[in-house]
Amino acid sequence: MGGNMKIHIENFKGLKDVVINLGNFNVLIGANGSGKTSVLELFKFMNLCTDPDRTPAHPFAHWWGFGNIVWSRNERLPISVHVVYEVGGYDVEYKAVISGTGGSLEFKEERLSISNYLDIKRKICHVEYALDEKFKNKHKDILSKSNYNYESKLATFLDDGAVTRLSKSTSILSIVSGIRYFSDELGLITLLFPDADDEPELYIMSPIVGDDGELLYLKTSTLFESHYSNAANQGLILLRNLNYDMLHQPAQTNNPTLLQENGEGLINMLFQWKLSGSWPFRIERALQELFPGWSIGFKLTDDGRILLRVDDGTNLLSPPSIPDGFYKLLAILAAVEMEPRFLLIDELESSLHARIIEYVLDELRTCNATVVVTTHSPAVIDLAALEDLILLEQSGNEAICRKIDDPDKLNRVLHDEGLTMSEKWVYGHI
Amino acid sequence: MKFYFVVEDAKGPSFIKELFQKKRKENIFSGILQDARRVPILSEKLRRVVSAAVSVADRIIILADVDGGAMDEKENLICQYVDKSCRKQVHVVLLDYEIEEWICHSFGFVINDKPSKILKRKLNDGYEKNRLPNYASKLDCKRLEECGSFRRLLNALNPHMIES
Repeated sequence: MGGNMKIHIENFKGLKDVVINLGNFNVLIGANGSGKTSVLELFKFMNLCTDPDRTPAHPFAHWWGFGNIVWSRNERLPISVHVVYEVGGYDVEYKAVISGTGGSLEFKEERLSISNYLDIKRKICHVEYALDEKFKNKHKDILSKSNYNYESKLATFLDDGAVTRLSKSTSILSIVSGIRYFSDELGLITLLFPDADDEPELYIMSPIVGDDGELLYLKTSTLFESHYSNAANQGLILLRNLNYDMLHQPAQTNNPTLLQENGEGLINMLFQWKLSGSWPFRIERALQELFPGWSIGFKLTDDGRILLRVDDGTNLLSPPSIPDGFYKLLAILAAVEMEPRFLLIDELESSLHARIIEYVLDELRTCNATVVVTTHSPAVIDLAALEDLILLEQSGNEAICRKIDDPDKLNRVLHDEGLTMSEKWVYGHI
Repeated sequence: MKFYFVVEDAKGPSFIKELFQKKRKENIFSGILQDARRVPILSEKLRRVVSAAVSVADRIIILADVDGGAMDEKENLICQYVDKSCRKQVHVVLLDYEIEEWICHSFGFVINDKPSKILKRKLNDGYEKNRLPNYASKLDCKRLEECGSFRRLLNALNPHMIES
């Protein structure tokens, strides 16, 4: 996906009132405790809140309670997220105001607004849908001529705008229960309202956009989804604190072949690629260039688990002898290979040599995801374009977020002072 | 002769490494590729990298995009980020647009737009920047004789070329 995205965050951890403008590739820098990781966690939080199948059922449990993620531990405050971006030429706005008072997830407000197409508004349990008039009129005939017998429910919707009820803990993004395609231009989404007594289903027309021919409604409603139900790729991937001890252990064959934030799933993914007979070109090339002569193999243990083995050209390395940086490189490349919409990596540089950092940055810069990495590394900062940097600072107990106003001017200053960006940032002031 | 490439394009180092390997086998390039690194060209990082590289390579080739702009201006700007003591070993090779122009020339595509955009339009399976290194083996040196920036590269790789 990639592209520019503006995110306004309120009351999430130290982010009291922060606006972040994301490009395709973004490098968050700031001191420890400045809020870099909180930005990544915001995506995880929204993923959990909008996922009806989340485990555990309460998303706050991941942080040991709502009090630990709301600003200033004030549980009466709601967390608010407002995202503005563009999909296939349509301007999209999504806003959620989420309360966790008493430990219960509650969508106080939610709105998905797509220019020239659709506006969905919810207040607590009350949801209203309104299609854009021009869009409605343009496609009315197509629907009436279709072979599908949806007229009754569509009629209500088309004429008056639909009103229905939704559980206060269920996001409007997470109620898609089916899709159908009418033509190259138009499809139909079935929405399921499990709490509604009379009309549990609602149908919504959607234009088809993009090279992949996907329904616009689906593209927007899966904004924070980590795993698309009908696709092999992942939507949102967060890599943080890879658990090398776990990666050293043989992987259970029933582990998910999805990449988890601690690296779980990596061995299974690699094993699947090996079974398929060909490595993704990214992994093959990275090995050739960064670990020439190395090859990846597997051994099945007696109890059927998968053990990673690496041949470094001289020795067969068992998992505990494989360098951590090798695992980290593979995890990042595997994440890129899943073609996520968002790829978020905390402390990108950990365990990686400067040469691998350089290589990985190139991979991240040329993939199609919106990439957000955090770093303390001068190597990463100096390889990033000044436009890519997002600076986070603490002021009192609030985080302040800014980009460099005038990169050309700063570049001239750096030249005059003979300083690299990282030197200016670490030893001076930006 | 040992060469050290400094490239501003993402995936440029991988492309250069692949290119060097292939063309050495074909006896079109000679010498040893000491390293190829990506560095923001107009930054103090370039000065640091070049200063470190002079001790490990005989010639440092800075490969930079001009994107249809003025060549002299870009070269002057780059030279501001190279210490005088290193300049004898440094050759700046400017690309009229970007590395992809070599691929366009090799495939016989007329360059009337940004080369990466032309590739996106003309190649059957599209073009993504992350596949740049895969095209190193497809460069046609015969066709590239007509390409100014590739000739500049060959000059820079000529060990008998007088140092600037």
